[in-house]
Amino acid sequence: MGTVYTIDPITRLEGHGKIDIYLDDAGNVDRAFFLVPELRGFETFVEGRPAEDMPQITSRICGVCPTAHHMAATKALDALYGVEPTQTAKAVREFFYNLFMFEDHLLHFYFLGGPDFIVGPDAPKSARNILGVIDKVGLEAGKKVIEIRKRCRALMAEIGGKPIHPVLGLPGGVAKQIKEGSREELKSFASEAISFAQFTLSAFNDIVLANKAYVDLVLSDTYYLESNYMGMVDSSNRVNFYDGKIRVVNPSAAEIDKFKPADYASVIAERVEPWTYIKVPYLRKVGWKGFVGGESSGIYRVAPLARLNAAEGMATPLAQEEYERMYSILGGKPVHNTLALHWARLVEVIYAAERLAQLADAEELTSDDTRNMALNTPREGVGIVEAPRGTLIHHYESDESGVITKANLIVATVGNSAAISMGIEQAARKLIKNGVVNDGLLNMVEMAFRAYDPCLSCATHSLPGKMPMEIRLKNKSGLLINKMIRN
Amino acid sequence: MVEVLNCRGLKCPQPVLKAAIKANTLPAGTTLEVHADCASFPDDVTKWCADRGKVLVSIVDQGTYKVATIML
Repeated sequence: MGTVYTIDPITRLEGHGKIDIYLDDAGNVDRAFFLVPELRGFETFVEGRPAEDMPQITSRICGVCPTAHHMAATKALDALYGVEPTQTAKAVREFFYNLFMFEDHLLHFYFLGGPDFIVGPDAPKSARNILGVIDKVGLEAGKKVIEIRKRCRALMAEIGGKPIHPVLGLPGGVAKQIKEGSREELKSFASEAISFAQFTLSAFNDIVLANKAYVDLVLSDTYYLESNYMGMVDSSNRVNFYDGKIRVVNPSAAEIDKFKPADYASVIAERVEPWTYIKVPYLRKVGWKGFVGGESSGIYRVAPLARLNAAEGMATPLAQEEYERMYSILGGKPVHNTLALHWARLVEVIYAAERLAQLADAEELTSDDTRNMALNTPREGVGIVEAPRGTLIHHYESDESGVITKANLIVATVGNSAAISMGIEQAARKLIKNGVVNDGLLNMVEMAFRAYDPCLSCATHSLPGKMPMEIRLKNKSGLLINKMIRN
Repeated sequence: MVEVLNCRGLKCPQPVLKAAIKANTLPAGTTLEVHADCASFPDDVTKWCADRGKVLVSIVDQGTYKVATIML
């Protein structure tokens, strides 16, 4: 057997993962694996807890996207208790949710994925971070990034009750009214957010799209996968993060399914692989065809590019303009180039900012009709939102007193688990030849997962029945003297 | 017939959720007495009664907790 390269930990993502690349005797890639060795296990340990605790418990899954879990859980409670939220509650929730989407997408562009382009894919790793980004875009621009995210987080703390783990959602409503006196501040922030989104798109245009080498990289077959796509849409098939039906299109962008949250289990099936804690979902209608792309593939993708591929447009004017520009430059729908996720994410940034402006003007936002308390006996509920990383599904069953008896979470990153595994192996095969491996090439392998903005801390809740374990025995000098593996 | 539901120690929205669940199991005309010490309980139970067409007979402050009497 040839050399094995391990990237551990992989960097600039949420959670912990590693990549093993196995070279053959000629120094070319034999296999590459994307491994998620951590287990969170929330699906199991929430059993026996009161359903109304779920928005708080599940938001602890992650410190980066607690708002997505909080909102999916809240919507699942609406369904569980059979109660329709008031119009005001919907407006407050959606406003709050778009604040979150705006700041979270910016986190990825400037701190996590963006450095690969802004600083360069093969730049020294010490520079591929926010400090390297500030060095490139200038101190003033760097300050703007930090300031707008800080202002956004402050508003989220005000509306959601806490800066990180919100206490906003209740079955049928929200816990707190937005006062009319706050409206001007919300409108002012939305206006600033739109300007900042335009600035960010302009920077992307100047740094990435104006650089032929980067455009070639985006369009290269190193980062290309034909798959199905899934995303939430409104009644006009335009992207919506908070509410709507889930639309699925095939690799030719033809609609193959459109379903209500409660029907997700008839569309999505899940399988467990013995080598990872992350589940591998696929489209039930197509069936599991293995880790393969193309027209017959059962694999689907989620996240910004998938949402845009699965929709027929954006609901706000500037976002629609950028959406059309993206597809025009990248050759029409659907776009299968994984690195185009970065551009799609920025289209969503401006959509989130514009949607904030729309909602800040909505009369119902500040009404005191924050809660519908026509609660029914709890049974079963499904809540779906579009998390920054894709379609997020919470499904609960309870007994008659509202105690959880079963929970199923299909977290956004899980939706991309098969595509990420295939993507890193494909990138490794294309990039590593004849034993030539260096830091820049390995980072370009990482770019194949980083574009998805995966959140592995959110993604591993299944218990396959046995826990793989590796025990390393070292002497007092730290020298490895024995290694035992249980698979 | 009077049913007593002890929700002391539970925070919003739990007391009203428990009351809603309990109410669904009882026949119309039953009196439900809910004991709770969450600060928002009086407002919540008042709104729940209004939304569900129940008669809120009284909310009595017992010092460390409140008792809402509801005619279902």
